[in-house]
Order: sequence, then C-alpha cells, then structure tokens
Amino acid sequence: MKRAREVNPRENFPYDMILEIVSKLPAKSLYRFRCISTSLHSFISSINSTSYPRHKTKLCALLDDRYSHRHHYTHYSVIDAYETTSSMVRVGPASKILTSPSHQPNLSPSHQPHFSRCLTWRCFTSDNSWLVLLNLNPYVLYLLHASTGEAKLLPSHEYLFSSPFHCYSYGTFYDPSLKDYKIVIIDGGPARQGKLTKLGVFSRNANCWEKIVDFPKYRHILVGFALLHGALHWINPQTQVLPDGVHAPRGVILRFDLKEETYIEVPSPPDPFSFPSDSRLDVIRGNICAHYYCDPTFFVWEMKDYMVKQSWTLVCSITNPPVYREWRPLDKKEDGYRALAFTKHEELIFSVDFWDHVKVYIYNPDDGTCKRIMECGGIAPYLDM
Amino acid sequence: MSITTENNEKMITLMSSDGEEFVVEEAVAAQSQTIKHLIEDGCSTEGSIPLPNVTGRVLSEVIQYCKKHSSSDDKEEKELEAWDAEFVKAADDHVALTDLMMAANFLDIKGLLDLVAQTLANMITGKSPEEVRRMWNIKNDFTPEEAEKVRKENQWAFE
Repeated sequence: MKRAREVNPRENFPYDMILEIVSKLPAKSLYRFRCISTSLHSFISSINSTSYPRHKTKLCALLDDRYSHRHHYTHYSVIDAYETTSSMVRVGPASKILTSPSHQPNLSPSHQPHFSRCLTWRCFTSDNSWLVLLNLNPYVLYLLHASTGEAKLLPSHEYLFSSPFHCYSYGTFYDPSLKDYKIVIIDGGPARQGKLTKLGVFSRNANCWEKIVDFPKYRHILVGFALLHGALHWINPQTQVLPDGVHAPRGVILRFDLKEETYIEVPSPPDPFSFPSDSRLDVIRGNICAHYYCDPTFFVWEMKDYMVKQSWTLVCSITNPPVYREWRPLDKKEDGYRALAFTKHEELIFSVDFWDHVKVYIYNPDDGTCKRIMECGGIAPYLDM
Repeated sequence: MSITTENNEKMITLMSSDGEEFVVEEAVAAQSQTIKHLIEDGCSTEGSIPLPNVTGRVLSEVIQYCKKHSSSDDKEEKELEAWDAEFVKAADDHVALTDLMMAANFLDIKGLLDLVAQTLANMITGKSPEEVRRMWNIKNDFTPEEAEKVRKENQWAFE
C-alpha cells in the first residue's frame, strides 16, 4: 500500500506523484522542467539511464548461409551486447517461422520475407523488441519480433517507397502522450527525377502512415541519422536552407522534432574541435553518439547528457582497425564503420560495411585488439524490454 | 456492515473524510487494491470503511470510475477510452485532477492513476517551469548560479 500523507493536496503535492506525471512527458518538456528544482533535475537526468538499461541492449543480425551455397539470409542471431562475446550468440526462433509460409497466415506467398537482397534494416525499439526490416524482394517494410519471430507487413504509401535504393528506415520511438509507437522512414527518391526527400511517420496504433513531410536532401548521409526523444539528429554536411528559412552551417548537428516539425542546432563538442561533416550519428546506450573514420583512426564520441555541450566525451578510438587494410572502396569510406554497442567491460562492438554484408568486430580498449565475431547480412541494435 | 442485494451482490459502505457514506458493490470497491486488502483483512465487517484521505466529492468521482471499469470487461476498449477521456474532461482544472490523483494513489487504483497522471502530463507539456512550480507549490531551490547554468544547458527546450 502506498503512503498516505495527511496534508492538504493543494498545499503540498506528494513528490512521487509529480515524478509519475513527469515520466509521461515528451522529451522537450522534460528537459525544460529540469529547471524547476534540484530534485526534479536529478530525477529527469536519471530517466534516460533507467529507460535504456545497458544490459538490455541487444543486437540482431541477419545470418547469411552463403556457405551452404543458397545465398539467402534465412535466419538471425540475437546477441546480448552487454554480456561478453563467448556466451552471447544464439539463433533466434524465427529462423523457421520466417521461411515457412504456414506460420504466416497474414502474408500472401508473394510477401514472404526473402532476405537474400536485404539492403538495409534498422531498429531502435524501446518497448517489445520489434525490429523494422526493409526488404527489396518484394520492396516492402516488415516488422519482425526479435524473440517470437512474428512478422508483420507494413502497408505501402503512394509518396513513400519511390525506389528501393533510396528508402531508409530509421526505427521506432514511443510517443508517451498518445501511448503509441511510431516508425520513421526516410525516402530519398532518385535525384534525377527531382523528387523531394520525404519523411514518413507510421503509427503502430492506427496501423497507417499518419504523417508525410518534405525533408531537406541529405542524400549522401542517409545512413547517419539518430532517432532519440521523438527527434531525428544528423550532422549537416553543407550549408543548407531549411524549410523554415534558417541557414544551417556546415558540420553542425541538427535536430528535427517529429512532432513539432522544428529544426534546432544540437551543441557540438567544445571548441576548437568539431566533427567532420561525414561523421554519422547513432543512439548507443540511450545517448547520441557521433562516429567517424579519420585515417587511420575510428573515433566514437558520446553526448553523455542530452543537448549539453560540455558532456561530449571521446569514448573510444581505434587506430588502424584491421579490416580497413583489406578493404579499400573507392568512394564511401565514411560509411564503412558503425559503432553498435558497448559491452559491460566497455568494449566497443562495431560493424564494417561491405557491399552486400557486414562484418562485426569487438574492440578491447585494454590491449587495443579487434576480434571478429560474425559476418552477416545486416545488424541492428534494439532494446529487449 | 454487509448488505446483500436482490441479485446477491455483496455491498459495502465507504465513508469519506467529511463523513459522507457511499454504498457500493464489493466488486466495484475492490478495484481499489487498498480497499480490497481492507476487506480481506476483515475491516468491513464492523461497519463502513473509513477513508480519511478522500473527500466525498473526490470519492464520488472515484466510484464513478470504478463502476464503469468493473462492468466493462466485455465492452469495446475504444468505448472505454472515450469514456475515460470524458471523465477526466469533467474535472478539467489541475486542482481537481490533483485531488483525484492523490485519491487514486492512496486507494491504489492503477488505471485511474495512469489516466489522471497522463491528463496532467498533457496539461503541463507546454508550460514554463515557473507555471509548473506555481501549480503545485514546488520550491525553486537552485542557487542563482545553478539556475543560470541549468537554464543554459536546457535552453533548447525553451525555444
């Protein structure tokens, strides 16, 4: 039974109930209300770390059974990122479900997921392990439940999915005021057709695309967005005029609030340092991380306290990551590395993109070694809650 | 005091802090975990259950909620949601909602607590820190230097 206090509620509202209310607020209000009092400040600062418990961070990898000469990604593996590598790999129960039509009553045979040409798939789920999968054959988005293997097909939309090669899913976020989970995708569209980049927001409750907005073109950094607190974050590669008339200079981190549809600048690390404009952002353990390769080192920075300039910390730097020497693409070197998660020993798990698969490594900061842990069709972090 | 109605529902009496009595079905009152435990402990046999933290006005609202939610097992979820929305709309100032939330907390009715907390959260979403302090008499205990620093760190959220 909860404590009852014999006070006039209008004079003194119990603190634990204010916390109950505050935890249901959208991020922007939450951060504004840190200014109310010292105790609210510390409570709100702690919400982020408790809603992203480190040991809940999982990685889901599509496994390629190319070695059986079938050239299909037919099953996946769930890795507990927090635990050490030796005990962490298990094959998900979805392996059979995903390939067996009888277990998919909602999907017509032509809509069976075939992972053989899976271009990209991402997820940042926070509730119940739903992963967003972009599939090219046929060209559709799926929701996949990481532990049950249940797959759901998302409805298509006339303004989205203009071309498989320009569509990127950016995962999901929770809208506390509507108790709804939203899925965000960006459709770059083929440049030569002069199409505007569209951003689509899908409502899980309503099972429809509820919002489509024009989005500035960031073609070559379409893989570098981070979705956190109901907003997209990315590093602006060139001076741009945003739809609301603001000139955004090169190299700054921008934040686009999906609800308010407003752009603001995110503080960069203190001068004189700033990120190269080809850095990419991701969400790792609940924080915005920026990572980039600057020959010969891969750097990972973390903004430990959301939107606080002084909190940017260099959390990892890997000099001469081994894979780079055996892989020399002509153009998109900046897309090569992606920081995925940290283990409980602060080892970094990162992936290296190849044209049709990724290799996943674990970096030990104590002895500077990188160990390869798998090769797969794609890998995405999510929270197992 | 236990009364039994014609259709054999066990009734119990709840007494508010200002002495108002409410006779309700046990199933309705047991939506409150607090009352449920009091009944299980035999507190209801010697008369009415006193609720010293809840006024009659608030208790009648709580009972209204419990009645709706105890009889709605087989009803459409959507209809119940619409009813909830109307219910909190009726108590649309933050003082009434705060009282209701205090009662839901004391009586341990999770659904009502969530509903009211969400309503209050929606109400304060666009407000300034000063307005929220005034609503619940929260003391600003930052030193002027701290206040300046915190305000600067969270400046983006004011824009």
